[in-house]
Amino acid sequence: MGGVESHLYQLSQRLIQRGHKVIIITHSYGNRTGIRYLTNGLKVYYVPHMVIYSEATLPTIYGFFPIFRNIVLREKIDIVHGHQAFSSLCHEAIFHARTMGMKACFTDHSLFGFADASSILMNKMLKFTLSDIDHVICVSHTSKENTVLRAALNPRIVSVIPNAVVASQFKPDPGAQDQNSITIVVASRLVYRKGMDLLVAAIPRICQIHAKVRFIIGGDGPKRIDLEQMREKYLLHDRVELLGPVMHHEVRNVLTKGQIFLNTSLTEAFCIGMVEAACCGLLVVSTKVGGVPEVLPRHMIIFAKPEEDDLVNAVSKAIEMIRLKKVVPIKFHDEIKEMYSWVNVACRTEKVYDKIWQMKTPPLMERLRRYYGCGVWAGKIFCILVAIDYLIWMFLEWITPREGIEIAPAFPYQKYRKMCQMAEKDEDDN
Amino acid sequence: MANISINFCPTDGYQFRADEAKCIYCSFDRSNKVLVQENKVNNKNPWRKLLWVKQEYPDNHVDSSFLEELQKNANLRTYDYWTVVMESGVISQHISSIVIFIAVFIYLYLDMLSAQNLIVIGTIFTSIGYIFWDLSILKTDPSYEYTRRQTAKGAILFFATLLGLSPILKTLTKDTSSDTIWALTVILFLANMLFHDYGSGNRTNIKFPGSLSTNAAIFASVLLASRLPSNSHVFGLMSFAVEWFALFPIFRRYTKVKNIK
Repeated sequence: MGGVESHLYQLSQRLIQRGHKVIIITHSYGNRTGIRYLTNGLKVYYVPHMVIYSEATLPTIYGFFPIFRNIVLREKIDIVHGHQAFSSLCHEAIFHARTMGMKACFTDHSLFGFADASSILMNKMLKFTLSDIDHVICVSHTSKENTVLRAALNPRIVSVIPNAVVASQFKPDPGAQDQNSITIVVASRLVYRKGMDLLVAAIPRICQIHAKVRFIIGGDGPKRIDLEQMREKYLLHDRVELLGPVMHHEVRNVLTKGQIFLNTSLTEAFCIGMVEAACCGLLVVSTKVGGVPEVLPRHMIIFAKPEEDDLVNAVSKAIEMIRLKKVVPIKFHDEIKEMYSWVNVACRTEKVYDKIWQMKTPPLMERLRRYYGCGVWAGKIFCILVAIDYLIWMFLEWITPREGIEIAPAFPYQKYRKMCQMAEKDEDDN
Repeated sequence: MANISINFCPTDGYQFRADEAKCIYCSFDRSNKVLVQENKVNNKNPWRKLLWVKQEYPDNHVDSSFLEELQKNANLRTYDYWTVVMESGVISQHISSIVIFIAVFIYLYLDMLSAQNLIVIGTIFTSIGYIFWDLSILKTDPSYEYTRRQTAKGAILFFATLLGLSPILKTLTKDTSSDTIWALTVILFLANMLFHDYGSGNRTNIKFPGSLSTNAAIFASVLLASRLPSNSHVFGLMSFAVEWFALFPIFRRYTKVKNIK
């Protein structure tokens, strides 16, 4: 479970607590299909969709519309909130929601380039979705600048709401640390984007300079082979520990083993891993890329340029600070708890919802005008797509009328809470 | 310091202590005139590009510093017109050489050029080219001298074989329609053009060997030669093809390298 999934879950939970009704629509994961209930009656629809590569689905544009319309009408949805620019499901959902005259907003979790073929395609797609949207949420100011440029948006309809951490799940544990040595923890997917090549180059040099430093690397990915080869080559088996995939609830136990958290990302919108590490009381060393400089106050983080020499220097500096005992884990934890909380995130997201709820829904003509402005060729193609979508919607309204769709009963959250409390009381009494 | 109302560094969010005049991280001067002025006007702390502080601005606030750090075309290289012309010269050269070859074939086919003339001219130019090549290599590499005899032997053997093969080549595609030959020739010359070694210099990541291109061109020449009426025509065109597509590119590449040096 990465940043986006935990974001979805935590945000939904807080919104439910604040009295909203939230459902999540995603594609099916292997056996996990149909409808499932999570904590506090959070309903998740796993829509059957063909997965092509690493949990990404094939864009079908219209194939998803009938089932989407059905779900939305069943659940009486007012606002559709899409997450992650890479998800074709998200783009389609927002597109259909706008056709059906609903409010839509979008959260962008990642940064993206402008130059290569895949990013040009991606940006065009993003522009398509975002040319008719009520509000966009970005996780950092840098991400906002990136999104505004990519999708040619008005910056005033883009809000910055960072991710948060559940501080109680990331408590420091001084007992777990190895007192004889300094442990550096790396926890991320082992992929190129996370700067694994940099890490592979830096580890042998750091191990050479500092005799009492150990590394713990959690995560899995294509670059794991490179790390293993590096370990073989420099005979660092006793000092570099590769944990492989780490479950989300075990991350804290990995983090607390170390004193320093190392992040070598080459591009990052908002590194939630760093916040979690700081919350566990680790001193963070990170490459100064993307939204990273905005995330943590200066006494918790040491920046390095994304290059080998500077990274080694920064890590040496951090090791020095740990030796001199300048870092007080519990203080870090308390500070982070104040800075990032999901309640705060939910509050701010709610404000966005309130704002877009008051906005007028544009008529079809206005939507076509907006799409037309997307580009000489793209504008016309987008208009065709919108027009066809509208016709399909009309067809669906005719073939399966609104009245015929059964309304799903809402999950009785208040009653559920009361029963939970009663059950707890009973247990206490017994 | 009582008259100053800046409590945080705007670049990294460092909180100033009461007696500090400069930020300890970026040495930002706390008594910065512009900011103090702005503060007085708005009666607000300046907006800071940070996520961990709670600010009295709405989430969709757009500051004047928005997109300040944008770098446009950071990795852009601009090209001078004439350098582009020079660099792409190899390609236009090669395309021209293919067109010249086809022109020679058409002249032969229409009997506007006799086979004898072609053979004589080809031989003369090849000899001149070889002498030039020989002399210039001799300057840089004296050990080259001993291979001369072998080259001559190889050349004689090759052209004799070609002469012997001419009658076979002439009737090779007798049963095939001319249309097919023209179409195939076009495809093969296109392949020759695409896979030709334009002399990138590094040989480490070449997908197709240079021989692919040469083979395509020779094959095309064989097809074309099989349309010609007499043995001497076939021999003329084939020897010209070998000189033109196998030897001439080597010579061109060599002169280019020499020029750059």
